[in-house]
Amino acid sequence: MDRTVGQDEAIFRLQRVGYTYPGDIAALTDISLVVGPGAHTAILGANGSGKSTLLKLMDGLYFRQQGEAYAFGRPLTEQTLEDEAFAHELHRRVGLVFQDPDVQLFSATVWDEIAFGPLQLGLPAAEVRERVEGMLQWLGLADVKDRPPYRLSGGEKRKVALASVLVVQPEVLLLDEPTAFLDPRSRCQFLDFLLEWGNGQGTLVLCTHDLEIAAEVARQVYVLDHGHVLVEGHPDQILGDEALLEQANLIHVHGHRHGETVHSHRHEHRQHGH
Amino acid sequence: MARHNFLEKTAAQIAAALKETLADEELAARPGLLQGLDPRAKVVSTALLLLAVALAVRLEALAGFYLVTLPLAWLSRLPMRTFLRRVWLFVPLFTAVIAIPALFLTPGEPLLQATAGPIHLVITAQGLRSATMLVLRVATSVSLAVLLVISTPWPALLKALRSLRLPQALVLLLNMARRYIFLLLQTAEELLLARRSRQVGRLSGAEGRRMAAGTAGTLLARAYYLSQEVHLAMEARGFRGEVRLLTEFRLRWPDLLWMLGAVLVGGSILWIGR
Repeated sequence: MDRTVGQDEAIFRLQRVGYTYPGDIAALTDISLVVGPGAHTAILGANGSGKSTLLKLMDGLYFRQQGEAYAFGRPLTEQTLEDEAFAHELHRRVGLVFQDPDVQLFSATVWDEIAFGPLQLGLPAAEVRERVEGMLQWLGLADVKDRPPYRLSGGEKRKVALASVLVVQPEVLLLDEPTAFLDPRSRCQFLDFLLEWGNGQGTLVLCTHDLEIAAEVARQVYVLDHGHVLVEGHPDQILGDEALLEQANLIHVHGHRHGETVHSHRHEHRQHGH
Repeated sequence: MARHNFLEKTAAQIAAALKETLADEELAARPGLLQGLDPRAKVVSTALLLLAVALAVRLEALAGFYLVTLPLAWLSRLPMRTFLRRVWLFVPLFTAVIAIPALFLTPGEPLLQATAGPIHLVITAQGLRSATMLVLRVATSVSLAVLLVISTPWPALLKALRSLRLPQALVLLLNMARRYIFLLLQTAEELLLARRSRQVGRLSGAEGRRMAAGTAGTLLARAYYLSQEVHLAMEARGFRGEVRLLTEFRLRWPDLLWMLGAVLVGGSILWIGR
């Protein structure tokens, strides 16, 4: 279990972290979590529970206002991220796929988009070309490589956003609602990818309210509710606790029709695009 | 049939703008004279011709320049109607308004006179010449710019600008401005369509203005959110204030001949009309 990960071995260690947006809007309060090497961690929570803020904090894009946050044993603060070498290492080792692919696809073409990360990290031109071409083939994007992002479908945008992060070959993948925008087939393919990623040894932090994908992928689950960690534990224990999931607004009761019969039962949120 | 209201007209205009952008990409991909040239050669020759247009002091020279743009559009298989519309819709908007006072205010030989009560208006030959010069100078400059933009894929144009040592911050801004204007146009269209789908009857003028203000506010908030998120997405992939691009252009003989031609044509017209 990741709680046993030592201070120096943990990839991320957050201790009583708090973050408040301007206007006194508390996004995270008293968050403590540990992500060890090879961990597959799902952070579950309804919309507005603070999941996206937490991922940005782990990627050194936001900085904790209370508590302590560490990545690879180093504090995640504005001062440490001013160190070019640490910022370079963090963004090489950690890849963040944003919830909204439109914010991540800012380049003129798909090819340029995928090449952006490796070029920023100073890889040689020949290696950048090789990696980009490999990624285009692997994700079936070769036909759209010269297209601007606005001419892509929602699923294609999601794939390009993923490719633009994976091309850097990160050790840790942070995913924010990764199944939003995906059709059922792409969703299954994506699930296969997550299970196989890094031969099952890659470190994964998945923020979602898709309980099905969390059950398939996660080995450790945190449930967030209004910026607090409601509970942490093994997926079997948490995903089987309907009262807890209902409290976190991850399932709810509503009516269903089965032929001529209409009845009510608990229902999970699976794919909510934004 | 009911007259189109403000909402419908705006939605239709946004849809038309989006379609026009997509059509431009097809024009840039057509086989044609300008499409076949290296984008850098086109940027350099356009800059030279624009300089010559700015330096031209005789009406005949400007008319000569303008006449050169028409066969270029034809040889590049650009639809003449679209080409002329883009130039001559723009010119009255931004230039004629400035040029009209010159008709009356420039001293010289009276050409036409009119008296209405205490107001005595005189159009002078010199005033007419000044106004025509201004309109023709702008029309020719816009024609040259439209030829460049319409015959060059946007990514190639950006790379050409960058390879010609234009500051990368400027190139990046140009790219992102176009990328997100497109996205915001799509958002605006969706907002207006969503509003229209819930609308019964015609909007009064006040309601229409209130709705337009609401839409503008939503778009502004969306643009602000996007700018923040895009910056974070860039940082997450290693952006530290300096964008690195791969440029792969090769100048060939036709490109060099084209640039030489631009120098000769520009120089000759200036020489003849000096």
